[in-house]
Amino acid sequence: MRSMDRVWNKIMVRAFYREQVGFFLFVFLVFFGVVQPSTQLYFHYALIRGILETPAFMGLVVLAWGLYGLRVRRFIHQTLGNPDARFLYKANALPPHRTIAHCVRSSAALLGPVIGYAAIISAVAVARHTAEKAIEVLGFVTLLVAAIALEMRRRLKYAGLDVAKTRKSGWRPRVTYGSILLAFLLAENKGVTAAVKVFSCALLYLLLRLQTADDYDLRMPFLAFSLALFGHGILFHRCRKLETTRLLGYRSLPVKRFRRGAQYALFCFVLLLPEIIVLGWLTPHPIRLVDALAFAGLGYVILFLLYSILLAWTLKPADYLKLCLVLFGILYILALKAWG
Amino acid sequence: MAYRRLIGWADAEPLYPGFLTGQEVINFYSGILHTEAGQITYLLQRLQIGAWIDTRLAGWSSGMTKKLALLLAFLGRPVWILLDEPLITLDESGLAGLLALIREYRDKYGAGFLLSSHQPLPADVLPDTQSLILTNRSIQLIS
Repeated sequence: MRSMDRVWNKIMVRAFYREQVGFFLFVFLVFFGVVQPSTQLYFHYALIRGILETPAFMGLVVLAWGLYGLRVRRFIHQTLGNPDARFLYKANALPPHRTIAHCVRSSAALLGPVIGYAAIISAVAVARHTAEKAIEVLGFVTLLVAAIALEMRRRLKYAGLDVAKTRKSGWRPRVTYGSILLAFLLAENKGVTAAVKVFSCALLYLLLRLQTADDYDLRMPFLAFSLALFGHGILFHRCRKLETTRLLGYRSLPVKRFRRGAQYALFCFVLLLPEIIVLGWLTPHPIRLVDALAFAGLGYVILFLLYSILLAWTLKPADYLKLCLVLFGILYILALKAWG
Repeated sequence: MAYRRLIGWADAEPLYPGFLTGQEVINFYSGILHTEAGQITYLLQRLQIGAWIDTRLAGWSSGMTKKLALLLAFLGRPVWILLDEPLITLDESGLAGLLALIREYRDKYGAGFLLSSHQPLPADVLPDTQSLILTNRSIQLIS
C-alpha cells in the first residue's frame, strides 16, 4: 500500500509540480518580488483584508483558484491518458473507498498552494471576527478538492472518457491539409499556441503604440516582433513531427508540389492573421501603412522560411533552435541597416 | 502524379491524428483521390467501421485503426495495393471483409496485391496466392 502511495505521488503530484515550476516561479515573483522584503508581511495582510472586504476582489481570487483547478484537471487528463501511466488503472482493483482516498489525497496535494493560501485567509478572517467568510473560503476550497478528486476517480474508472466524442452536426467543413495542421495546434497544443500568439500580438501592440511622429523608430519593435515570430518555431517543429509520424500517408497521395507548397503558404498566412489584424488596427497611426505592410510581409517570410527549413531537413529541437538564433542574428543586422 | 493514383497502401501499425474523426480522414483522402460516389459507404460496410466513423481516432482500438488504414488503401481505383501485415489486429468479421475485398478488386478491377505477412493467408479463400519466402519474411503475390 505504501509503495502504491509512493508511485501515485511520484506520477500524479511530483510530476505536476516539476512541470509547473515555471508557473509557480512566475506567481512567486508577482507576489513576493514586487514589494520590499521589510514590508512583505504588511503587504500580504493588506491584500488579504482587501480580499475579505471587497466582494469583487474575492471573486477574482475565486476565479484564479478555479483556473488553477482547470490546470490541475488538464494535467490529470494528460497523465491518465498517457500510455506510460496506464498501469495506474490497476488502482480500480482496490476497494472503492481506498481508490477514493487516493484521489482525495492526490487532489489535496495538487491543490496545495490554494489550500495553503485559503487557510491563511481563513485564519485572518477568524482573527477579524468574520468566521462566516472563513467558512465560505474553506467551503469553496473543499468543493474544489472534491471536484478534482471526483474527476480523477471518474477518469480512472472510465478510461478513454471524452475521447470518442461524436460529431452531431450534419454540415462537415472540407478537410484540407492546412486545416489539419491548424486543428492540431488548437487541439493538442492549445497552451503553447495561445502563449506564442498572445506574446507576439501583445509585444507588437505595446511597442508600436509607443511610436510618435517625433520619435518614430521601428528598429526595436521589429526586432522584438521577429523574436516573437521565431517563437513560432516550436509550433512548426511540433507540426512537422505530426507530419512525419501520424500524417505519413499524405506523402504518397497524388498532390502536386505546387499545391503542397500553397497549403503550407496558406497555413503560415492563417497563423499570422492575428498579427496582421493588430497591424491593421494600428495603421495609419501610430504606424505608417508602408511600414505595416513591411512588418506583415517580413513576418510572413520569416514564418514561411521557418517551416521550409523543417521541410528540407529533419532537425532535432536543439539544432532547430540554434538555426533560428543564427537567422535571428542575421535579421538583427539587416534590420539595423535597413531602418538605421 | 498519375502513378500515385494507381497505388494504394496500408502500413502494419498505422497512426493517424487522434483529434480527427475517421470520417474526416476519409474525406481528406477522398477529396484528393476523387473517389466515386458510394465507394466510401460500400467500403465502410465491408470492413464494418460505420458505427465508429464520427468518433475521434484517439478513442479507436488498434483493430479499428487498422481497418481504417485498409479502407484508405482501397480508396479510389488503385491498380496495385500494398498491404503490410494486413491480418494483424483484425477481428474475424474484419478479416472476412478484407479477403472479400481482395477477391473483388482482383476479379472486378484486375488489381494486383503485394502482401507482406508473418501469418499464412487462408489458401481456401485465396487459392492462387504465390508466396516468396525470404529468410524470416513472407511476401505473397496474388494474380
